Amino acid sequence: MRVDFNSIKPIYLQVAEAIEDDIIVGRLAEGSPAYSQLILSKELGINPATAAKGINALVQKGILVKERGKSMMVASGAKTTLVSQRQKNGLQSLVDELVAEAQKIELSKDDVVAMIDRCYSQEEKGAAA
Amino acid sequence: MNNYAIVAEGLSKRFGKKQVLTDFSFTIDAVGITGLLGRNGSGKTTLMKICAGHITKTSGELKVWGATPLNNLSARSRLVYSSHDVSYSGGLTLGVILADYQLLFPDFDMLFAQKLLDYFTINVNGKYSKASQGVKSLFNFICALAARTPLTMFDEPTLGMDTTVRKAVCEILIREYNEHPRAFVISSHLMSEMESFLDAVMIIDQGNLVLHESVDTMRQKAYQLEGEAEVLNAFIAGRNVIYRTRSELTNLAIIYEAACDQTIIEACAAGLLLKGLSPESLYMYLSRETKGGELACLWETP
Repeated sequence: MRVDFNSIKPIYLQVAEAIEDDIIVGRLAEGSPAYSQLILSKELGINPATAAKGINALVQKGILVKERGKSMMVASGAKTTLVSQRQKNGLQSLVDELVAEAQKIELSKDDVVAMIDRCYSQEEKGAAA
Repeated sequence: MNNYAIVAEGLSKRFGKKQVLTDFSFTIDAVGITGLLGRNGSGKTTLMKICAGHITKTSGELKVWGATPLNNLSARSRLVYSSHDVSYSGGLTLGVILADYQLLFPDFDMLFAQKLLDYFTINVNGKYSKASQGVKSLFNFICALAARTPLTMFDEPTLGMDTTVRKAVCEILIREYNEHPRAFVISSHLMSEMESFLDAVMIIDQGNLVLHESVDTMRQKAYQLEGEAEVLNAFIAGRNVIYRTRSELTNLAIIYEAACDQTIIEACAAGLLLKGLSPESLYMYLSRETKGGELACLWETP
């Protein structure tokens, strides 16, 4: 988990997204305790208020839940929610960037699609081997 | 009642004819970490010394925990001002100075101080005057932190420390703040190491308070744009531009106003590169004027 202090993106949102990432890859399992404010503050060297703001953003989205007498927990169904959200919006900015760069160096749409195809087939080969 | 550690209203300071602080009005929250940024001689130390009651103000109002800090022992026990340039008379050992801290500050945690000294392998039997600048700074930092006063002011705490020690000091500070939240005011010329955990930033330039904002707000407002000169000029027209430069390779503008998502989308669509600004960079752009102007003139022959 890392925070980019030069990004225009607010730190608390970066913290929230980093927690989301860990839920998506399974490092944080549903129903298990999420990182505490204290841990985030200490480990990332950020202000505890900023850490709390990041956690609260996820509580509002229903990704984390506060259970009575316990720390913050990863909500059940959190991973599915996040994955479908990311599938909708997550790649768009990357694709925008890819297309802009391709246009700059005068690659055609077909060239770009061919490159993506090649990438997928290499991956399939790698998986088969 | 004491929601604020410091409340200043029109606070000014003059040394003889020299106006050092002009009309400072601000509040410092009871809990939070404020970074004080400014160039050498901008008035940071003067401001902290007035707040600590070490020197008088010339005019204006100043309350620290609701009381005037000057000549006020009960107020003085609720704050500590720690400077890199403290000097202690004669051959005082660190141990003796620690004992003095314990007498002065009711919440001074001697055990904590000793643990910190052990951690950094500082010998309390050594004389303060014989210590290096790095060790002096570290010792002063440890004393002020262990004093656990509701308001703690650090003036250039990391001066002379090596990189490893500075990193450790920052980590200790953030952990201590988690365990014992209180008001910290910190000035540093190496703010990049501390800005990750600041709540608020105060920027002073030539005795004026030019900016006092929460870091969250500041980060949303301050951004830099880079791109083709014409595109950039068209985009920044009507915006609050605080700095603009052009050289052979780069065209840069620093903007200070809330950047909404729309701004970001528009900037990208126009082919401009948009980046966030750290408190330290913002301070640099806000107080950039130097007497000489462009550096190139230094190597020109008259």
